[in-house]
Amino acid sequence: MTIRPHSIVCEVIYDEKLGKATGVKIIDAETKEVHEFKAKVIFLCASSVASASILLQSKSERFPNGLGNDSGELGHNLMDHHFMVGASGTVTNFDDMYTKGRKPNGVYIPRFRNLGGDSDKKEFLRGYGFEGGAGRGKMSEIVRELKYGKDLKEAILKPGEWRMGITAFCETLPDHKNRMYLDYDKKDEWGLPTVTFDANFGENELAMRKDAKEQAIKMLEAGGFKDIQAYDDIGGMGLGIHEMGTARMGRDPKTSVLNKHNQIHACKNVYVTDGAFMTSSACQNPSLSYMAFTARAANHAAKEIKNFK
Amino acid sequence: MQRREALKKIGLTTGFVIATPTLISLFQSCTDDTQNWVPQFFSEEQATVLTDIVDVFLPKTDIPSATEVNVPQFMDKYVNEVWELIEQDRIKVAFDKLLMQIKTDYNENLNKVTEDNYKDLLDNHMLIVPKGQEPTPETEPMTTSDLLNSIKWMAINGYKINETVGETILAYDPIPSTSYCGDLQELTGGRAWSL
Repeated sequence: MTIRPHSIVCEVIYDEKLGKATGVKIIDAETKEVHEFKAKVIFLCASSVASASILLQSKSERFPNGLGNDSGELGHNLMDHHFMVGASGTVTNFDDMYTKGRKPNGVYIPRFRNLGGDSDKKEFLRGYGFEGGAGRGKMSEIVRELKYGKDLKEAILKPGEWRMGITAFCETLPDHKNRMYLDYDKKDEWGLPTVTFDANFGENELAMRKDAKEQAIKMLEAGGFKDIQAYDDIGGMGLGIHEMGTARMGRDPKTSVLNKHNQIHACKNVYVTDGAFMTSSACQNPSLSYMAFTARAANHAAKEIKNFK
Repeated sequence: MQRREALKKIGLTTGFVIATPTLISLFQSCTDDTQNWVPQFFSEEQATVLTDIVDVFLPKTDIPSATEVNVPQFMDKYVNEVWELIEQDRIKVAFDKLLMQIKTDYNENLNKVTEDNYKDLLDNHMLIVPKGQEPTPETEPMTTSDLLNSIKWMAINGYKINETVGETILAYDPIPSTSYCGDLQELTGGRAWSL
């Protein structure tokens, strides 16, 4: 296997006669020379925004609006998780306990909304999970209350009160209005069009956040926490760094870009296996799903390779 | 993260301290000869008051005082290099007002203002901001109470991220290893971890 570094894929080459992709065009990031590489099968896994950009740049007679863009959905349905809503509270019965060491994770509360029965909510579709943790990092209330002197100095050297916080990571629904598109008037140093985003969270997301905040407070209250402080700071798409959905999968080629094997509907020797294929965002961290889908698609391609001659 | 943003993490009214390498390097540059310290941001008179007042907040006990670990020098660099211009102007105005107040109430010669004078000043003018209530918004002039609280929190945060304090006074374990929960006294003797 040869890995070629500093290679910016700018186009998937589509052969009109053969009716399939035959390779990729790359720009050498350092020399800016353009090279072509031939392939029987092409996997785009450049991350959701970059893969969609490459496809949008891959224009041909058959695909004037970008490779695989018969449906007009390429670059649309852009999603990211919305988060930064939750609550924290103090707990007093563990003042003689402290942590040592480090760990890479905290607590996780899986989704409990819209799973049927009592969990269903009329106000919004789908749901959210909580991530959180506890610690004594914040200085004690005593520090705030003491004005000066030896007692203050002693107090700042002690661990603060135990405080636990939980933050919801919430699903964003696909919306055709949320999109990324190429700006050919503003190009980068390799002459490639830059990406413009036009996307925001919608009513379903806002309703979900309201519930997430209420539930965070209720759970901490039920757990005996005091001094509970809730927050909701939605920000904008991109903060969750889980961009996805720009070449969505679907049964109907009229409304989607990829089929169930991550292949472009009308160009089956091109697979897209990053977050671009996602049909909704779900609420979990997505990397493992992308990896599983990529492995599944690779397995499919290996079986089908004889058909891609 | 941008350097300015990282440094701003040690804000004024927060109890959080995030010890980043950038912050530590800023602190390490404060170990010059303090006798010949020439403040970058504060005036000579402001620096005199700052030096005296941080030791009222954090006096010498069996562990070093704020000035012994160069907290005033740190605060001077911190305000100079991190604060936005609008914030800098705000603290300058408030500090000049405080100087007038000290001169009027205690002594024209700032070098003769005593520790008890400063305690009296703090008792009379430093209001503890009620929990959950923000200090005066940035669009309003900083009050004397806001200024004294700012100095207090900058002194506390500066003190806690000082290398000597972090490595020899707070509990220090640069290779923290596996996570677990245990008895506070056994783990750190009741002290907070520095990292």
